[in-house]
Order: sequence, then structure tokens, then C-alpha cells
Amino acid sequence: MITLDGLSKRYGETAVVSALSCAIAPGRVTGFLGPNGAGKSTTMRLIVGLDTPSAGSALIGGQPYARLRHPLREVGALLDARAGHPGRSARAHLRGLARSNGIPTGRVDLVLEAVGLSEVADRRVGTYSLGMGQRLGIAAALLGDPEVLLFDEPVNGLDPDGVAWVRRLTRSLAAEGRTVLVSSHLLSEMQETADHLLVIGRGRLLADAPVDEVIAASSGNAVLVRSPERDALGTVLADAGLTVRQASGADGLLVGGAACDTVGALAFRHGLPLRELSPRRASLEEAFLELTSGSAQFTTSETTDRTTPIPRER
Amino acid sequence: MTTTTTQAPVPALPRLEGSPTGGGSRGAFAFEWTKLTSVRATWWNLLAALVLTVGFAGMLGLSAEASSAKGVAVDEPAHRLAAQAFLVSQLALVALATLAVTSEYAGGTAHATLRAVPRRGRLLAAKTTVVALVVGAAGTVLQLAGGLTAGVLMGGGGTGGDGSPAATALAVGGHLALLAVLSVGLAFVLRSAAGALTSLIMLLLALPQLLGALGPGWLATASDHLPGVAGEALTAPDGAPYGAARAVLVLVGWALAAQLAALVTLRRRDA
Repeated sequence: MITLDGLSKRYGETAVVSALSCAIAPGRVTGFLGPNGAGKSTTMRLIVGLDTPSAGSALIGGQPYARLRHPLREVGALLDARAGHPGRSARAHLRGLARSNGIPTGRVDLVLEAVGLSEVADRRVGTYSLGMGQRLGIAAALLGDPEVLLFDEPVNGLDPDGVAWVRRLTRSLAAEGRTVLVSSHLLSEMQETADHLLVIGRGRLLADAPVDEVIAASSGNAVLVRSPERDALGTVLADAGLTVRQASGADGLLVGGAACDTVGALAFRHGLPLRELSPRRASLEEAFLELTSGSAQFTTSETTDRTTPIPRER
Repeated sequence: MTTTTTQAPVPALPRLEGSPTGGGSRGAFAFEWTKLTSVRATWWNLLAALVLTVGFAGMLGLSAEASSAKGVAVDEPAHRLAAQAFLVSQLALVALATLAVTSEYAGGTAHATLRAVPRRGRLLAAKTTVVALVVGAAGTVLQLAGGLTAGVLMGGGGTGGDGSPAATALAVGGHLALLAVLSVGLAFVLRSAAGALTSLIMLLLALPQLLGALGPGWLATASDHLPGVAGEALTAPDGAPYGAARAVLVLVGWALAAQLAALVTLRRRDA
């Protein structure tokens, strides 16, 4: 269990994290989402005491990180792709960490095996690929068999196999009753991995809800209806107080804020023939973009779905 | 590398049984020892210190031998002569101490270290103790080796003066251990190898020359209390501005000041 209470971090005038309050519960994967610069990494650094909060607190099982007697046995974190000294072997890196927290050094070989690095364990970390470095970071996080796991962009640099492996790993860690917080840019991946979402923008909490609820709240959830009498149907639906947009094709409409049966019943009552009536579920990406549209720190100018051409030099 | 295939289940990792033991200050000490001894830089620096110490001590011995052959008696004992080699070889040991800290910031392990040992004071104490012990022991052994080398090359000459080889070796070891404490502290404040090493070379070698040459008496007095001068007063007492006790006091003062600055930096600044 991680508890954030009014957690804030300012750098001079800039507030990177603003009064973040929430509880990250055990037994489920909590996805941590936000645009670039929203404060995800800073929040994770505050949780493990690398940065000091300007106000508020981050507690692990009710205690600040610095008070933990054996921190690696309570919190495992992957925060940085550069996991170890480039001149040190992965085995020596993990052995040092194990000794620091009274973890039996026999555990080192077990975690190396679990992340698939056994055969390269004695190579210097500087020779590792990004994906191998990421696996070493995950090995270090698992070393102390902790109840709380923080993974910042864990699939960076991993191949599709590795991505699937991280998904299964995070799911199984949560299934064992641990607290798992995962940040990622890959929203489709998050949609499959996470049970619960924490969405932040400009350091503020935008959503703290189950994945299904976040998606259900999106206006992208709609009913697609096709009718040869499209305009008449559109008027009927609009009169009933529904939001109606044109869909692709000459006969299509997208109806927001209604279910299929409502739209079907209205069409039937007015004697309008239908060619198609189907629900359209929003993707997490749509829900996310809608949530964060006002708070993105580094967006392209204009809209997010159309890029502005850069004028050529003459 | 070995990769798990898409269908393969996540290898079951057994749970750690039993309540946690160890850790704490002893854990932090073992951690720092493992880190220091598992990178090549440490061994290269020790090798460099060995070559420089024995090499310079040998040269000093030979030149003393040549002088006495020409009738100029050298009344310094071999071990005192050999201790002068550390004017150069101390830099390899200072580099060892500095890199033990700055390589963590450069390589990104500083975060892993702080997560493993979140108590800043404990981390600083463990790092400082391990590095100072290694550097102090290396200095003592190297001084004995340098003294022997110089003695052999000087033949029968240079037996005058006072102090035993063992006492000089301990003085050199102590001086270098305190320099290591100073270097570790400064490295935590500056975090970069270039910055820390430049500052230390300035402090140990350049500043005493500069301040002494400038003239005003108070500057010369200040120069006398730089760590390099205090180190010489400790290891080569002839002609020193003050005695061994004061030299130790000056060195301890510098080391403590650097450690205090490091502790404040570690506690205040984000990692």
C-alpha cells in the first residue's frame, strides 16, 4: 500500500507535482499515466525518497521510505534504464544490493534466472543492450521479494517478447497480493495490463479509477447507427437530447450518451429504417487524450491529431 | 541473451522466507566493500599507486646513492626519502577515493545506492570507512615497499636521521586515509570526477606553491595549514612548520569539514 497525501514538488516557480492525494492499493496493477513532463517519474522518485517533497508526504505501509529498516525487502523499483555501473558485472551489482539489505546472496542467481540474464551475469553492465539493462533493473527490483513494486516505463527497449513478459510479470505480482505501480507510454499495453488507473497532468490528479470506468467516462463511447433516412433520424435523436455526429459514409451517425436500445427504440417509434446499429467502445487512448487535453505540457501546436507542416526554408 | 518466449510462463520466483536480518550499518559497509572491489578502476588505481611509489622511491634512492658517491652525504634514512614519492603517487589514491563516489553519479548507480541505504548519514559513513581503510592500508604497505626499494638502491648510505620505517609507514597510511576522507566528502558535494579531482589537485599541489609565493605572511601561514603541507609535516618532519600533533589536527579538520559539507549536501539536495 502506497499512500500519497498532498504530495507536492516544486522546482523554483514550477510545480512538478501538485497536492497529489491517493492510495495505491495492493492486489492489483495500477497504471500510472500522464503526458510527458506530467510528473510521473518525479512522483516515483518522491515515493522512494530520492527527492524530498516540498509539501505533503508519500508513505509505504504507513512509513516514509527513509524509515524502512530493509527498504529493498519492502519496495522494489525500476526507475532508471541505467541500472548499474558500466564497469561492474550484473552479478556483482546485485550481490552488493543483496548485502546492503541482508538478503541471502543465493537470491541473486534466482532473480538473474527469472529475468533471463543468467548467461550474461558476469559480463560488464556497460556491454548490455537497453533491453538487457531493463531486465537487470527488474531483477534488482525483485531481489528483496518486496510487497511494493514501482516500474517506470518497464517495457522501454524491450522486444515484443519482453513486453509480453513484463505484462505477465506485473499481472502475476499483483495476483500474489503485491502493490504494483507501472507507468507507461504504451496505452494499449496499459489497457491490457492495468486494473486501475492513476492519470496525472501537470502534476495534478486527473483520474483515480478502474480502467473500465475511465474508458466508460469517455465521449468516445457511442452508438454507430446507419440509416437511408439519415437526416430525419438525426433530427429525431437530437430532439431526444442526444449528441449526434456524422460518422463515415453517407448514411452513418455517431450517437453519444445513449445505448443501442434507446437509439433502436427511437428509430422504431418514428418508423425509420436502420441498416446498422452497433456500440462503439472508446479506447483507453481516446479516454486518455480527452482527460489530458487541457494539461499536456509538450503538445504539438493546433490539435493532437493533425500535425502542422513545418514551412520549408527558401 | 536468453529470452523467454511469449508462451512461457513467468518463472516462479520463490518467496524469501523468514524475517529480515542484517542490513543496517553492517549491510551498508558490506555493500560499499562489494562495490569498491568489483570495478576495475579501483585495481588500476592501486596498481598505478604501486608503480609510482616504488618507481619514485627507487629513483630517489639511486640519486641519493649517486650523491654520496660524489662525497655529498645524505643523512636522511631511506624510508623518509621514499615517503617523498607520495607527492605524486597520492594522486592515484585520491583518484580511487574520488571515483568511488563520482562513478556512482556518472553511471546511474547513485539512485540504486540511495534506495538500498536511504539514511544519508549511514551511507556516507559506510562509503568513507571502506574507502579510507583501503587507501590507508594501501598507503602503509606502499610506503614499506618504497622504503625497502630506496634502501636497497642506496646501498649502505642514508642511515642517519631518526624515526623507524614502521612509524613512517603508519604516518603515510594515516595521512592518506585522512586525504581519502576529505576526497570522499568533496566528491559527494561536487558529484563529478573532473570537478572533484581538479579541486583536490589544486588543494594538494597547486595552492601551497601559489600561496607561499605570493608574499604576505598570513597567506604563508594559511598555506602551511593546507592538507598537503600538513601531510608533509606528518611524513617528513624535518623542516616542517609544525609538529606531528598539529599536522594530524589540521588534516582531521579538513576531513571533517568535507564530511560535514557532504552530509548537508546529501540531506538537502535531491539525488
